[in-house]
Amino acid sequence: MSAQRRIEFGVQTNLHYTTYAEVLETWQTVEREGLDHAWTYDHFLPCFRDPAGPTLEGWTTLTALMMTVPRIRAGVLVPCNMFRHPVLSAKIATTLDQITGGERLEMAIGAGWWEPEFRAYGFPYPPLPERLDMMDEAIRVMQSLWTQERTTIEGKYYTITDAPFAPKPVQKPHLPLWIGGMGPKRTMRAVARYADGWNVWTQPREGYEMLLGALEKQCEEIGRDPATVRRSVAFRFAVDKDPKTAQARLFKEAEDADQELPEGFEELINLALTGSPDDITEQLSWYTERGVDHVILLLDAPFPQDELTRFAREVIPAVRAAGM
Amino acid sequence: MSGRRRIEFGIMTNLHYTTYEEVRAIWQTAEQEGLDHAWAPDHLLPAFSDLGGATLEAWTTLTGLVHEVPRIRAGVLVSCNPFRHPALLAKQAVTLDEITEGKRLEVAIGAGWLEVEFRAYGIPFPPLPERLETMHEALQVLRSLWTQDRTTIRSEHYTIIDAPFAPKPVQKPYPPLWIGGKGKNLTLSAVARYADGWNVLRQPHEEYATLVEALERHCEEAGRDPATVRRSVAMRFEVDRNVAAARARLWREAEEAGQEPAEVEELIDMALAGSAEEIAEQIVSDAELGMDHVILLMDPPFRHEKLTRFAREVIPAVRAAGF
Repeated sequence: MSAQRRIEFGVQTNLHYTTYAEVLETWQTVEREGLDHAWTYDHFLPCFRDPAGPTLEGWTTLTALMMTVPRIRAGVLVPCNMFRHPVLSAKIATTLDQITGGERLEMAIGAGWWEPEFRAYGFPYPPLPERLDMMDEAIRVMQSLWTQERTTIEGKYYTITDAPFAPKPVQKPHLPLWIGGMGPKRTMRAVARYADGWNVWTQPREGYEMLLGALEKQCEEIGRDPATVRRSVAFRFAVDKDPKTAQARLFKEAEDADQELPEGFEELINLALTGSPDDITEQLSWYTERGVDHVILLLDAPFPQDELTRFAREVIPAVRAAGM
Repeated sequence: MSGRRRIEFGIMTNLHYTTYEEVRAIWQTAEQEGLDHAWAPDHLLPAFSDLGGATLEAWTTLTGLVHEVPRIRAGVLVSCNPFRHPALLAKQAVTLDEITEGKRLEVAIGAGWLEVEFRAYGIPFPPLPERLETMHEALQVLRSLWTQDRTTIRSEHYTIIDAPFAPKPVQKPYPPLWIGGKGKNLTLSAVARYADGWNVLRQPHEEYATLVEALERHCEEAGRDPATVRRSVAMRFEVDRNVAAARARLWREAEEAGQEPAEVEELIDMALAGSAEEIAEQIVSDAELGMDHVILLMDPPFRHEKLTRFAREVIPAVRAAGF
C-alpha cells in the first residue's frame, strides 16, 4: 500500500457480564465522540469468564442498537457460522440492511472457536478444517443468494435448490464482508476469495507481516490486487503518558472483569495500544504503512467509558495530525 | 369458562411482498387505533404466492418495529422451530425481552409447515410427527434454560449438558409462550403441558368447540386448569354491511396479493365478513368458548382503512357485548 488512507476507528463491545443499557450507553459514547463504527459479538456463553454470567444475543442486540444510535456503521464481529443456517444469516443481514437504509450494516463471518458454548448446548463442533470448509460453503451460499436470481449449490454441508432470495441487500453488489482470523492458509484463502476486509487481533509485528505475506500470495493466486482487501486490527488500549501505568491499567481491567487470562494474555497486553497519544500514533503508523485503515478498540464490561473518551479526544486528533 | 375476559385484539402482518416501511406503517396504525398486539410470521419464502417475492426475516423485523411502535405487545407468530436451535431462540427472546424491559415480548413456536422453503434451502423437513416431537423437545429446552440455573437434557434431537443460561427473562417465569396449530393430539397436548396460550386459525364454530374440548381433556390429563390457557384465533376480515361485497373484496385482496385461490379458499371462507354487529356476534360466540385474543390477518398491500374501520366499529360492539 502506498497511499495512506484515513484510519476509521471503532469499538467492539463484548456482550457478556453487562446489560443492554450499558452497551447502549457505550455505543452512544462512540457515536458522540465521532468514531466510525461499532461491533457486537456472537456468543452464547461469556468468553474467558465464568460461564454462568449473562450474555446477550449478537444480532438482536445489534438491531436494537442500530435503531437507537443513528449514525455509526455497525455489525456483529463475527457471527458464528455454526449457530445459523447460511440462508437465515443472509436473511437476517439483508433485513437489517433494509431497515437501516443500506447505509450502515457491515457483515462478517467466522468459523466458531469458543468450544465451551458448543459443548454446553450441543451445537456440532467438528475439527477446525471442517468448520472452515463449512464457512467457505456458507459464504458462497450467502453471496449467491445476495446477488443471483436463483441459487443452486450442491455443497457438502448445504444444499440449495433453485432458490430465489429477495429482497437483495441495498448495498451493492452485496454487503461488505469481513472475515476474521489468523490462519495463514485457509483463512487467508477465504479472505482473498470472498472478503472485502480482513480482521485480526493485534499480532507481534513479524507475525502480522507473515500473515500479510500469506494474504498477498493468496490474492496473487486468484489475480486479485491485495490492496483491495481492507485491513482491520483489533486492540486493547490504554492512554497514559507513562506506558507502564497504561499497561498496569489493562491488567487491572482484566482483573476487574474477573477474566480467566488465556495463554498469551501478557503478550496481548504488550501488543495493546498503550502510552501517550504520540506513542499510540507511532504504533498505528506501523500498521497504516501496511495498509491497515480500520482500527477496532476492544471493550469488555464494565466498559471503561473514560478510557474510550480519552482515546477519542486525545489519540484520534494526534493520529489525524500525523496524516492518517 | 366462567369468568369473561376482555378480548384483546391484534394484527398479524405478513412480511412478504412488502417493505419494512410498509409494515411499520400498519403497525403504527394498529397502535394508534388502540389494538393490543401485533405479530409477524417467520418465513424464508412467501407463503401462498410466487416464490420470487421479497420476504423479511421475522425476529430482525420485530426488533426493529418494537423501537418505532412504542406500546403494543409483539411477537413472531410462530417462530419456526427447525430454523433455529432452541438455545438460539431462547437467547434471542431473553435479549429482546431485556431490550423491551419485560413489557412487550410474546413468544410463539410452531413445528414448521411451508415445505417449499425447507426444500429450496435444504433445511431438513422430516414428517410432521417428527417435527412435532422435535418441537416438544425444544419447548422443554426453552423452558429449562429460561428458569433453571443449569440445564441437562439429552433428548432425541437436542443435547444440553450442564448448560448455564443468563440473563433470565425479565418477564417471570418467562415471556408468554404460545403454541400454534390444530392437531388434537401432539399439538394440543404440547399446549396443555408447556404453553400459556394456544393459537389457531379460525375454524367453523363446531370444529372450534371440538378442539377446545380436546384441549381441556389434555389439560385435565396434565392436571392443569384449562381456564389458564389463553386462546387466540386468527382470521382474515372485512367489515361491510353487504356480506357478498365483503367476500368479493376478500377475494380481490387475495388476487391482488397474487395468492393461489386453492391455498386461501379456507381462509376466506372462515374470514369475519359482514357488518360490525354481525362480526361482533361471531366473535362473541367464539369468546364463549374461551377465545380471548383475536388476531386479524393482514396481507400487503396493507389496507389501513379496513383496519381502522374494524377498530372503530367492531371492537366497540364487542366491548358493548361485555367482552
